Amino acid sequence: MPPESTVPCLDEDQVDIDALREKYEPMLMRFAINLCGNPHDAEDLVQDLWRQVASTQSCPQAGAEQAWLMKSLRHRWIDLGRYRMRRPVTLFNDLETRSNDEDERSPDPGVSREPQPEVRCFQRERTTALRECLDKLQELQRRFLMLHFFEALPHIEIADHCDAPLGTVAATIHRAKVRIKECMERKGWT
Amino acid sequence: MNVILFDLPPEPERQAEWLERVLVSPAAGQLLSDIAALRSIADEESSVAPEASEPGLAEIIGEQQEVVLREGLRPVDRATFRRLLQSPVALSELMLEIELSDSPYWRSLTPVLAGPMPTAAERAPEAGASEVPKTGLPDSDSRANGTMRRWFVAAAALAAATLLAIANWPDTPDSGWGWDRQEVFALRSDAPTYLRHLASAADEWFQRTPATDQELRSRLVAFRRGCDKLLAAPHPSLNATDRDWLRERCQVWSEKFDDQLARLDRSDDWSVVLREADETVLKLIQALRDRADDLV
Repeated sequence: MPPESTVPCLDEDQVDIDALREKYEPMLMRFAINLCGNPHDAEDLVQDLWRQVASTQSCPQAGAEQAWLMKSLRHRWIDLGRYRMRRPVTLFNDLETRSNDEDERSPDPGVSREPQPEVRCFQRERTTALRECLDKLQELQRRFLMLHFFEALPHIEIADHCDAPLGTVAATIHRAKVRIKECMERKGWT
Repeated sequence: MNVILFDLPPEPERQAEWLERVLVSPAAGQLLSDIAALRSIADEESSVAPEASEPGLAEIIGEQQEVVLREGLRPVDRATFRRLLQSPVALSELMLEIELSDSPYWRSLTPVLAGPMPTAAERAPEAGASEVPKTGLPDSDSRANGTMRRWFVAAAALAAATLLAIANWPDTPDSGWGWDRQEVFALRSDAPTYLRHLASAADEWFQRTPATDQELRSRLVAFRRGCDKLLAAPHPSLNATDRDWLRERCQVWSEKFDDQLARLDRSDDWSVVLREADETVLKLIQALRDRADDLV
């Protein structure tokens, strides 16, 4: 059964790519730049989307083109994230699972999920690099850093939670940030 | 900052606004990448199967989605906000919904300033480009379309502005650190910017962690010397009231540093002195930032 916002394409010409590009490319570029962080990779991502759209077996229902394209773009971004991992980070398995779950319950363009090796957007290498830098922190530094930036706890709550002086918490987090920054710079992420 | 998540304001009441501005900016992907790295640690430590651990947007904000699209993240309760901040999947869904909703609230936001992320190609030498050769896309070589030109011009302008700012920054690597540089006090700007500039300079205290009591002494002496320079500087960016406030505060901070140096002379436990010096610096940084916020 086709997803609710797509219908089977009756012929190759049913998706007017040029018309879609003219109307939606600026919007897609804006979204892609926010996802990728730079115009070059965003352009690659959008180009990849158009290539997939051209080869799809499903077409958007009339009036649903915008949502169809934007959701497709996000799915492509997630897909591209999971094929370039040099070292597994569990989140990407989660992203993949989540993405596949969404396929079953929400409108989807029905485009091929096969990645194009030329397209590199989602900063997977960056995530891996950051993970490696986090692994190098002292245990207390990592613990406080996680509580502050992942659990979003203010310093004072961390101090209460860990029975540590407020200044120690703040200084430990600060030094952990400096170490991460330097570690990322050594890995080429400025 | 190469980790955008570290820009998360420490004050909970400012975090929603910050996240909103990131989500509508080119820093959003970077933020999701940062959260992904932290999340991978959290999942490992909690031994939760990752596929069972990360909820989607609907599961996190549920019926509040309409409110979020209309009014942003500030109406969201604290627990929900935290869950959202932990989920790159949900945040990317939210970005999508924001784009699709064309919400006037979200359109009115000012994106956070962020330099362009390195492109995949720029990252190639270290990030596996040899595994993934750039073969050239049928369409991507024809990037000379108007949209791309505009984005490249914007990116180039941002880069140029950044370079200009760096070139004009009154600092040289070999001239000491923190306030122990006369150039720090030469910045001419509005008062809040100047006070934040002083706070950032003081922040350099944390760039090195002393490994011995002698190193701590050396750092404290340098900071104390910086206080003297601050007391003597004319601070042309400040009016008389703010100048007096700054000098008065600086006297108090100087006395604390003097006390800490004296305790080192008495061979007190230097790690305790370090902790207190850290606290003093953090407090003075906070005081400068609070004053700057009050003046805005």
